[in-house]
Amino acid sequence: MPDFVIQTESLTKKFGSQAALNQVWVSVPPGPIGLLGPNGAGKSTFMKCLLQLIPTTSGKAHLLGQEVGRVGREIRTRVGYTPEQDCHIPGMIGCEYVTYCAQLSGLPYQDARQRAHEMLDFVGMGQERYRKIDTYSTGMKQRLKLAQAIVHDPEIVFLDEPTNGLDPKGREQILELIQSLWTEHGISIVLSSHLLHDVQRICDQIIIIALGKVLVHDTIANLTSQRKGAAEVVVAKDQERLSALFRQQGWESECLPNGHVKVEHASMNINPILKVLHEADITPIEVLPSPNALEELFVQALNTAHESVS
Amino acid sequence: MSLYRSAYQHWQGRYLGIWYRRGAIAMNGIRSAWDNKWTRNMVLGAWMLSIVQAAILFGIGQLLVEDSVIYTLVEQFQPQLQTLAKGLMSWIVAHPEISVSSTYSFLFYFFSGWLKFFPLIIITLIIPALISRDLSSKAIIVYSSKAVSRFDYFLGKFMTVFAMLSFAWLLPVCSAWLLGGLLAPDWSFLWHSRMALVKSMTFIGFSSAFLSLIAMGVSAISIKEKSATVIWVVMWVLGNVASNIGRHTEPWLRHLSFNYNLEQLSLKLFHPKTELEQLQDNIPVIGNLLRGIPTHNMPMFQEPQFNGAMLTCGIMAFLAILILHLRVKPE
Repeated sequence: MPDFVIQTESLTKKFGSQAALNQVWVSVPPGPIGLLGPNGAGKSTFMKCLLQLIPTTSGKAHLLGQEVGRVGREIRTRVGYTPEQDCHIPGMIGCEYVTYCAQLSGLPYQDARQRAHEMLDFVGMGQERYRKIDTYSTGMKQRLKLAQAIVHDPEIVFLDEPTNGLDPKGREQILELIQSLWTEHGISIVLSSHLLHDVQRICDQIIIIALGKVLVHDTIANLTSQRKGAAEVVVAKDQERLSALFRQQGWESECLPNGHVKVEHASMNINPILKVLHEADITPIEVLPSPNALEELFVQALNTAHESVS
Repeated sequence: MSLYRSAYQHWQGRYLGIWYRRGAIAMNGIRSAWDNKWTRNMVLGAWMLSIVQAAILFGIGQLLVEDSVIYTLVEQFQPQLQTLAKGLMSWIVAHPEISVSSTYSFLFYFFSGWLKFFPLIIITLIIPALISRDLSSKAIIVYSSKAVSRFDYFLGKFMTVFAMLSFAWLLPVCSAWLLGGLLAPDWSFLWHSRMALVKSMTFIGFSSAFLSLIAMGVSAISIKEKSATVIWVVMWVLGNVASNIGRHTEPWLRHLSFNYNLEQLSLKLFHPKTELEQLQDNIPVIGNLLRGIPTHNMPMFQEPQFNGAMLTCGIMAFLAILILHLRVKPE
C-alpha cells in the first residue's frame, strides 16, 4: 500500500468555461475519507476523474500510487465504486449480477460466483439475491451496489451517497459494514455524502470541496480541536437567566428557537458549563457538547469560500 | 450483523486477462439473447433449413449411386430419363471438380442468402438489450468502473451479436456442408466442394461482422429500447424499398439497402453467372437445356456492383462507429 492512496497535483476539470475542479492539490493517506460539499461542489467530478470515468482537463492524479490516465483499466481491478444512481442491468438476478461484476474485474467464474455469495452475505442479503434486481427495494439496491463494488477485493472503495433511501436501521447496518471495511479489512474508503453524521461516524479525515476547490483537508480530530468549544444546554426553565449567566462569564450565548441555550465557552470539555449550572442551582435535562461540530465547520468553510469569491 | 461481517475475506487468486473479461461480456449478452424464446425459435428455424440443404446435397450425391432410390423413381415415372441420368452420372464421375464444385457453389449461394432472414430477425430481437438497455439503466457506469475499457465493452457486445449470427447462419451452413459431404457416396465431395464452403464462410463472416457493427450502432442511437427496434426495422424496410426504386430509377439508391450491398458481395464471391456458363458448356444434354435460362432478366446473373457496395458498407460501418463513440459514455 503506498503512503498516499490519492494524490493530485493541480487537478482541473472544466465543462466548457465552467471549472468543476479548479487546481485541486491533495495527498490522502489510507483510511476512511469523507468527501463533503454542497450539490455541484465537484465531489462526484473529483471521484469520476480519479476513476477515469471522465477525462481531466489538466493536472495530474495518482490513485494507489499509479498515475491516472496512464495505467488504464488495470488500476480498476484494485478500485471499487458505488455510483449514486441505480445502475444495475435490468432483468438480471442479484447474485448473477454480482458474479458478472466480479468476472468483469477478472475473477474466474467459479471464484466469482463464490465471492458473489460471500459478499451478498456480507451486505446482509438473504434469499432475495435469487430475485430479479428490478423487484428490489431501494435498500436492497444499495446493498447490491456495495456488494458489486467490493466483490473483487479492492484496495480502495469510492462510495457516492451509499445510504441514500435507506431507513434508519438499514442505514446503521450499511454504515457499520462500510466502517468495518477499513477497521477490519484495511480497505480504504472515500465516502461522498451530504449526510454529515454519516461522514463523522465513519471517517477519520475529511475533504470539504466547494466551487471546485478543496477548502479543508484534515483529520476530524484536528478540526474539532481547533474550533472553539461549544455546547447546547437543554433546561426545562430559566433559559434567559442561564444565557445571561453564561454571558457574565464572557462567553457568547443565545437562546435558540427550540428552547436550548447555546454557549461558546472556549474550552475543550464541558466542565466550565457544569460549574456554572451547579453554582446557579439549575438542573440541566441534557448538555450536548459541540452539537453538529462538523456541520458548523462545513458552513464556516463554505462561508469562507463564498467570501473569497465575492 | 456480526454474522455477515465474518463472511468477508480477502481474495487470494490471480485476476484473469482482458480476453476473459471481454468473453464475460459476450457470454452475458448471449445468455440474455438466448433467454428470449423467439430468438431460440429463429436459431432452430435456421438449423431446420440447413437440414433441408444437407438433404438436397445428399440427393445430389445419390445421383452417383446406380441402385439409388432416385434412379428407381426416375425409371418408374419416365424410363427414358434413366439413360439421361446415367449419362449425367458418368459425367459427374469424370469431372467432379466441375460438377460438384459448381453445383455446390450454386446451392450455397442460395442457402447462404435464404438463411440471412434468420440473423436479421435475431438482430431485431436482440437490439434492445444490446446497448440501449445499458444506456437507459446507466449500467454503462458499472462497466466503466470495472477493469474493462470502452473498447473492451464494444468488443464484448460485438462478439455477442457475431456469436448469435454464427449460431443461426455460419454454423448451419458449415454443418450442412459437412453433413452433405459425409452422406455423399464418395468423401471426395468434401474436397471438391471446398470452394463453396470457403465462399460461404467469407460471405457470412463479412456479413455477420458488418451487421453486428450496424446493430450496435442502431442500438446506441436511442436509450429507449423500443425506439432502437423501430429504427432497425425502418432502416431494413426503407432500405429495401429504396433498393427496389433504384432498380428502375437512380442506381445509387440501391446501395441504401444493406441487404442489396450484401447481395452484391455474395454475387462477387459465388459468381453464379460464371458457374452457370461452366455448367452450360460442360454438362452433356442438360447443358443445352440450361442455355434456355433468361439470364439477362435475372439480377443474380448480372455483374455485381461490388465497389459501390463495399464503399456503402464502409460508410455505414463508419457511421455506426461514430454513433458508438459519441453515444456510449459513462457520463
